[in-house]
Amino acid sequence: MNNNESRKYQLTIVHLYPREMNIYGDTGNRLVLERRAEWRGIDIQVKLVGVNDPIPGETDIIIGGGGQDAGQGKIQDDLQAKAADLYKLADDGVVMLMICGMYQLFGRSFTTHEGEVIKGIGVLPLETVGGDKRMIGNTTYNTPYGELVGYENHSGVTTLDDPKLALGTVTRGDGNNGQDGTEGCRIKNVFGTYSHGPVLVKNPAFADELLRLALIRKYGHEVALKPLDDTVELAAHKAASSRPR
Amino acid sequence: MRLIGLTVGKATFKGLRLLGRTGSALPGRVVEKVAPAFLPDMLTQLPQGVIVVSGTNGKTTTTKLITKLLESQGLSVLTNPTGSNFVRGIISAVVDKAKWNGKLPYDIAVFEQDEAHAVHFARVVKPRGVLVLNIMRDQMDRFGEIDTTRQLLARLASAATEFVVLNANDERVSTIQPENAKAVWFGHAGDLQKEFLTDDQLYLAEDADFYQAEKPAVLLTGYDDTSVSLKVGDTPHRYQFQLSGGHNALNLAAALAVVYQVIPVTDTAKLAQAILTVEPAFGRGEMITLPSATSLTLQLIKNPGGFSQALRMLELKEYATIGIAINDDYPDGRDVSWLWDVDFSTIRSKVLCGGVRAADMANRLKYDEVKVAGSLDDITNYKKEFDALASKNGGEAILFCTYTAMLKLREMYVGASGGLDEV
Repeated sequence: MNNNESRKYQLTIVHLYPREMNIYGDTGNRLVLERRAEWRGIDIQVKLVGVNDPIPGETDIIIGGGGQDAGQGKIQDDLQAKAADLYKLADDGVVMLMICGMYQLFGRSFTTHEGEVIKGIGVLPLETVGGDKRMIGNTTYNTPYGELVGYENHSGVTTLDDPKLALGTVTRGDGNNGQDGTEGCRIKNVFGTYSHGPVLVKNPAFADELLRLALIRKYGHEVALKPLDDTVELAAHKAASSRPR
Repeated sequence: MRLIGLTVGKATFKGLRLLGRTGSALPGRVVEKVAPAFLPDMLTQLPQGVIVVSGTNGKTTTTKLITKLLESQGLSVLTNPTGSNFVRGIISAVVDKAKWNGKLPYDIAVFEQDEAHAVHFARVVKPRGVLVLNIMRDQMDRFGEIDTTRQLLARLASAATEFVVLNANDERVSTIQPENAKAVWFGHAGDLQKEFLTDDQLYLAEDADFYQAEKPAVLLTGYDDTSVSLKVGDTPHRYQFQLSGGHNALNLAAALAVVYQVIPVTDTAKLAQAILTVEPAFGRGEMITLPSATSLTLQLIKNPGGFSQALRMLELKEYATIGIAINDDYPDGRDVSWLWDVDFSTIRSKVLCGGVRAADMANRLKYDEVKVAGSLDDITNYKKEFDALASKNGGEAILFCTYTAMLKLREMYVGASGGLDEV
């Protein structure tokens, strides 16, 4: 396909709560999607959606990051107000990538260490309970998009209703709960993971999969993505997977 | 108590020297055990008390600035070796500098302390003055959340007996309310706002409003590569100053605000001379001359805020060769995700990437469409390549490096040196 043909494609990325939920470079996921689309001549529009902002009608990809406790506190009510819209968009096949804190809140509930129950929006069939142990360090796991590397840092213990819904199988690290070898979750085109890194920067095949799914949903057919030279990304992937936990 | 602690501590030092070891925290550790009241007991001798410098970025440089400025006014100043934040490191310094009869021959002590150690220190010693520079997110895998950091620093401020100097433009800092001391502010003028983003502004700069809590006692009004303009009260001053970058200009404003609280400045000529001659601290914008006669600036980077600020040095001066070395050992932070919180798109020349995570850095630059001259994970090879490039390019060179990369590179350039941090 030549550049002129691909130029007609356009995607809108919604970044949810960029002010409140942005630790560990998770904002980098947005940059990776933007660049990898632009390098193929696909136009990208980014919409920052904060507390009290509506989710735009035209939305192809929604991303959300991890946050500090204060940040999570600030968005909880607003997220409940957006729950119905997000549920509908998820059902409609909109691509979503939720990291760490937002991953937990996309589940049904988060029960803190002190026993307080924070309601999630239930887009993902999982529950999280605050644990004693900090699950922290470099992590790798196998997925349909190859081996992914990330850096996890959480004490929430997440259990999927069905382990088959996991995004991947842990080969190093704790993953969802340090017990059942699962990491992350996928339902329809909604992906959740504990991986920072940010997750898309050293896993280009996964980043491209998100773009591919978004294009299929929007245009109703497969759009061939021009291959990119991923030498640098894969070198970074290799470096991360060779480092101590 | 004073003499027991001192004797034990000095004996430990002596023993270590016989074993050929120096600069250890062991004497401090031993004294802490046998004579817990040693430190407060010794430090109460100081007629001008104790000043603690804390905050996320700029502690080492600002501590050095305050020390030099106070010395210019005739005070003798006890300070902790570069970056040695542990209480036992301070005890070791006190043991080392005290006379055998228990006298501590100084007028004042100025200690840098990171937030965790500062609170521990303040439980033992009540500082006369506290300076809180800024609160940025650091390596959260080590220090926890930024709001926890603020609580720790608020506790430190409440231990101060006379004054607390606060950053007027960083809301997390400016709103700290000392319990027993008066608050004084330092800050920068509104038109410099773009150059000093707070942690929140760093993450959503487009709606960053200028924030100033109170009228600063010392206000930074401008700077370039060789000078700094400030207002002390309503009086403008312009000083020649060698430390590069806006962050150091603001550190100077903070240091001056402390100095004016400690003593009346009587010799303004000597103050100006001290500001002119102060040299960068260990690895913090330190200048090294390479064999090719190229001058190299070694700039430690630790977190997104500090790195973003340091990158602004590239706007003040032309650097022909730029390097970035990223390690991920414990003192650097194991997680290198934070590099994605720094905007590199302003770099216009090629960058040579090095360190264990050189590939991560090269990848980061790729997504900001900055050109990469190469990427070498072996630090010795990296240095060779960097030197060759610097020699070929001529002009000035700058190397931004994480903590352990800085230590290794610095050792290769100038040899091992004392005052290593105990991270």
